[in-house]
Amino acid sequence: MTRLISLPVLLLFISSAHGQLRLDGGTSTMFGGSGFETTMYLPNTTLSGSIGYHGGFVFGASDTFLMHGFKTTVGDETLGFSFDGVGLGLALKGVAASRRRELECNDAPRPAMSRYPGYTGWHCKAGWEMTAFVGATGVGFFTPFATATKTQHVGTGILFQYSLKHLTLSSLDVIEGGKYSLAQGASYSAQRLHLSGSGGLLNNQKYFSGSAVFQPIHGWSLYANHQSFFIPYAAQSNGVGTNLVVGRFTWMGGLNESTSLGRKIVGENIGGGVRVGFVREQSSWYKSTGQTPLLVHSITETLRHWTLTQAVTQAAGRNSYSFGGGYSSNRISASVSHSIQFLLNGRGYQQVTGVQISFRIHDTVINAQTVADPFGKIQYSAYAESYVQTGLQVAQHETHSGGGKFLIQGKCFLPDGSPVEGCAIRIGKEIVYSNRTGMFDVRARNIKAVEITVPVGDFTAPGTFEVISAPATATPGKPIVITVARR
Amino acid sequence: MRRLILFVVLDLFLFALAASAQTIAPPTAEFNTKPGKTSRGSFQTQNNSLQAVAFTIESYSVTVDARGPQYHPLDPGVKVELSSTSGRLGPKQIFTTDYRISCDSLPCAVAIKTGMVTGHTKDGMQVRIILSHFAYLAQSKHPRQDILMAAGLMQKR
Repeated sequence: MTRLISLPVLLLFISSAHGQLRLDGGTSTMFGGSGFETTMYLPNTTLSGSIGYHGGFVFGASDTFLMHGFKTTVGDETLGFSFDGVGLGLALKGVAASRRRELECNDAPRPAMSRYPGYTGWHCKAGWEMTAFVGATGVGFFTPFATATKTQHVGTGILFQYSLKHLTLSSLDVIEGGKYSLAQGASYSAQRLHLSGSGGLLNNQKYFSGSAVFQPIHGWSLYANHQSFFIPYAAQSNGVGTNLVVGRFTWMGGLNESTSLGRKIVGENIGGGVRVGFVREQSSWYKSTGQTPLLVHSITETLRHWTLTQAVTQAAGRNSYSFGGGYSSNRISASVSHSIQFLLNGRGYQQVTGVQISFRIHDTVINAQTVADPFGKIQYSAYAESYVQTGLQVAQHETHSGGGKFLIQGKCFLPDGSPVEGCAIRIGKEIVYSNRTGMFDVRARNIKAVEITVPVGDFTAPGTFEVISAPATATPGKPIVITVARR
Repeated sequence: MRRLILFVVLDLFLFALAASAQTIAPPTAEFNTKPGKTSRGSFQTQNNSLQAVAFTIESYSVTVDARGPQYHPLDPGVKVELSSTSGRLGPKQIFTTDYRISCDSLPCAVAIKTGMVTGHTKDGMQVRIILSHFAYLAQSKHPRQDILMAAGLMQKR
């Protein structure tokens, strides 16, 4: 405790010497502990220190910086490997490095030597992302408000993801504490179809996970999924269903199945709803193995800042009533909500209640919420975040526009010819953005041609884009024309 | 445990000081010049947040009347050359933009607007901050004062 009391003095000293400090603190049953963290942002590095209580006091510290293009963290770090329905979280005290390159496409002809016979047009430079780590792993305490690790064994691993147009391939290989995680995954994402699947070993246990969403026409979607859970006990879930939205009417239906603790539960649900002005009505019927069917009618009114919900649940000839509501503004948001969730603890469809409150006082944000996990347990979490700024300027962080005698100009369009504001274009080493008329320009010191790429992931325009056409190089005096489309 | 939570809450309020967002400096520049002569100036844009922000810069002619400044595309006799019209500001970065302005007829006022996308709402609507740097050009010692007085927005001392 004496160490904790001396901390504010230390923080005051640090904040007076540097620019920006972030403070987080909180408590949670979801994460199983309490703690707080201070993070200092410097021009080329981010320093962080944490104290947590997780079955005893745990301490953590880390330094994050860029090294040869790799985002490198030395110290305590949470590593979340998540792709195609598989998730593996690791607590690391060591070194982790990651780097990514966005998928980039253009229509410039490739050199004859490197192109497929008969093909000269649109092509993409594959995107990739890699994360590698080595160090001591063990029990971690990783929350929005503190990061610390209790080391138990040595671990190392690598996650590699490769993207090419609509396809993303992932590979995860981890060895830690004598346990192996070797998982391979693939996902395909197009306008009407999204498929993802992964399988392999997760902490020495075989698993398979997959999901599919198909949208044959606008407003109608069909989905199916399969998932494996290992914590707090082994469980598997399957689901299929459909949603249809036509004007103000919605319909939905689905089948769920869970296998856990030697029990198999099957559930069915079907429902429909209508929206009239600010009022939405939804009626749904739920039935699961060995359970009385539930019929739930809910009416939701959405006003400017307010959302109010009234629900009637009918089961075995008895009615039960519930009310919910929420208020949301820039400074404060609070809500109480009821929903029907298919639980994996053998109880099938159950009504769960969630409470959430968040408010802001100057630069401090305070959050509190309850969440029902897939096993039906209500967990809570409460934390606060604040920023401190001393007003001192950070050295070596002032830049001056490059200038130059020659002007490279261009325009970014949609296929219908309308301009796109917020297109990101990398011209040589500089990144520029198109303005509201779609125009962009950059000054060059000489008349040589420079390479152009269009990193769609950096667009500030809302939505997801793909490049229809873009030149590979730009020369001062020759206007560039880039055509993009929303995906 | 309770003491620890109390300490955390106390600590957060102890350090809850005001943090500023994006800023531009100086907000105005005045040039005592002649018609058609080029004036050179610069302004700094600072990103005080901890995330990188993309920015675009556009220039407009400004007419000032009793309702305040009215923006419209650059008049035919006004030329503005910017050293940079877009880019990305890193966390805490300060970026200097140089410009050259010439007006065929004086007095004239130009607004150089820097737009920064600072985020999106839950509905996907883009949130953009636009900060202006005003350049006042006239053949006098106090161009800004003269332009505002002519518009009736400032009284003669």
